[in-house]
Amino acid sequence: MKIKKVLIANRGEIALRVMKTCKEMGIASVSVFSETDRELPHAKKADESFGLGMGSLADTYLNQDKLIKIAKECGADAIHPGYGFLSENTEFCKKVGEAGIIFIGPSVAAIELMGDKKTSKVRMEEIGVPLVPGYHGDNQEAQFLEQEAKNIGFPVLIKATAGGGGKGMRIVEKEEDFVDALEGAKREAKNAFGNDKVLLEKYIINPRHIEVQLVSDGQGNHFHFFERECSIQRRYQKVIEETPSVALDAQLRLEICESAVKIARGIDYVGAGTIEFILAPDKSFYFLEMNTRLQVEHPVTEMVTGHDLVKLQILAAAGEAFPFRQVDVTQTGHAIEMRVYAEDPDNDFLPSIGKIVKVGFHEEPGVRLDSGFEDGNSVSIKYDPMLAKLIVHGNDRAEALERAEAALNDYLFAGVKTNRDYLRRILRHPKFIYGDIHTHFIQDHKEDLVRAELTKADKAALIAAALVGELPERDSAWSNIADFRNV
Amino acid sequence: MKKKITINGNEHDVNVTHWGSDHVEFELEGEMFRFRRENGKLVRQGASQRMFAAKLLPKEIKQVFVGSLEAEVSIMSKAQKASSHHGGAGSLQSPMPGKIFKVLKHEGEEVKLGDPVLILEAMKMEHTIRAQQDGVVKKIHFPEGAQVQGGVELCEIE
Repeated sequence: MKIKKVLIANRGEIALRVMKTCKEMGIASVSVFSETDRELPHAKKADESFGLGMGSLADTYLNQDKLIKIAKECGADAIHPGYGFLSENTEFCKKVGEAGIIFIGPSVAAIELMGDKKTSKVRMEEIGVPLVPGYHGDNQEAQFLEQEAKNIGFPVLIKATAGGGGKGMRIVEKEEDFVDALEGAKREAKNAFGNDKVLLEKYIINPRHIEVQLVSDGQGNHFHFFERECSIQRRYQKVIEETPSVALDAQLRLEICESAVKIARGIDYVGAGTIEFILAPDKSFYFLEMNTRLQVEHPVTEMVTGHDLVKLQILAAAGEAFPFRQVDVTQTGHAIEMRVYAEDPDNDFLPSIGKIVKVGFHEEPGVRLDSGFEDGNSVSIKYDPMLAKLIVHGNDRAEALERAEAALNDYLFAGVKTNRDYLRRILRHPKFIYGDIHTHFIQDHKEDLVRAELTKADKAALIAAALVGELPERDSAWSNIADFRNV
Repeated sequence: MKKKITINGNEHDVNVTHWGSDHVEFELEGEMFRFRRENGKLVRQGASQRMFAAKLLPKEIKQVFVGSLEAEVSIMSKAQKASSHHGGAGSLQSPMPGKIFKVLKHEGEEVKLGDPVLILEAMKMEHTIRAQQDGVVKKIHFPEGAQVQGGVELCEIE
């Protein structure tokens, strides 16, 4: 069935991203916007736009019935949920189907299966995908658990099942420490949660986050689009992503990617999805979870493979077969994505708001900015603080890093505080440059990532620029910007 | 012309000896600096000849972008006093608009410097408002769940 009109049930950069592909495919796009977002580009750039009114998220972007009603009213034959919001909501997916509209995503069953951590792990075990070795059962006898820990292999993590915030958690390095640590963890868990049940898991030191992009077409063919490394995270929020990962050689890459494809095949998947793995320093990898939607960081994959993942999603949802084979999907060069957040890294990452006076300058070859904002827009406290994704591509990692630095200088987002300089500090960190990264990188190198003291010459340059900028008789500010632009 | 110029909140005494749209000259920390605008760049005159790409923004924007440097810079004449922070150390302000997510201390409770007093929720994130001094919570102006503007006093500590 051909898709002619798509309602995009999302906002900001991802709504614009979907719109762009629709346009290229000759598909009409319909956007929705809350009253707060009325001035944002996604509310203006679609072929048709519908206001969702004032109110909370539940009243606007998460209002399933309203969205479906709009889709029917305007004659949209498909709904693209973007990421976040309703993208992994089985109820919405079901309702869309019942309304006779195509949900651009996987089946209800696939979302349901992967949305449940327990059942998905059981299914993965059946399919034969490696899981982090552990014990999650009811037997809580010390002797039994000690034997389980020995089977898993030290170091082992003891975790309260009711846990959170590190309470009732112990890392046990050696066998002889196990019983004491278990007692401690149980005592703590009892006090904190009133429940002393624990689980055991192999503790992986300095793990990397490696994920594999999958897209399955509408005819039962399953493809991978290689890996992304997303080890640079802060509080489980990804900050910098790249592909290829320096941690994989050709053999390991093939193994991980084929494991991911095996999952897609095993669950009869349709559309775009991502398998997240953790990779241990000894190069063993384990299934973490599957995201049954497009990922925020999908552009790095597009940069190195040359494929438009949104287009593939739409083709798959329409039941079509992809006109290529797995061997035709290749990785060329290196891509890095930096998430620009409206926050102040030097003040406890306090979210910032305000008016974006100037986003930045023109795009350059190998540089892509996916932003939901344009000059003059206000950043509201109501939504996610991600302003944009800055994606760069180079022939190799070194060139991509150079482009990243240059691009960070260009895209200012002047008017609001952003993490631009913080991103630069990460990119310049010797360990990052060397590729020696893991998911605790930001935490472990916290001291290295604080703002450097300004030198006297730096201060003088800032003062000089401020003085020149202060003069009332100068030309218009924007011509000055162009005038002063770096090469 | 003596100026007080703050960079990221740190005050500097600057003696500006020439101030034109394409040439500035000033003394900072005992050293003279001369900059010219040349071919769209800010060029430091003298031995180093360092060039900087500067981006000039409208006056109401305090951010200054020079090369890869970014800072909040404000210029005050000597007579102007550095804008004092709203309230004293005992007055805790909301740093931005948001919702009072949790009130952790009650009026009359003793607090130590750095103790969390309130949690403000904004942009789906929690921000902890901490005591800026030791003392006793005198007044908390908002209940949990209240929406607050940026820059308003949330509580007083004595």
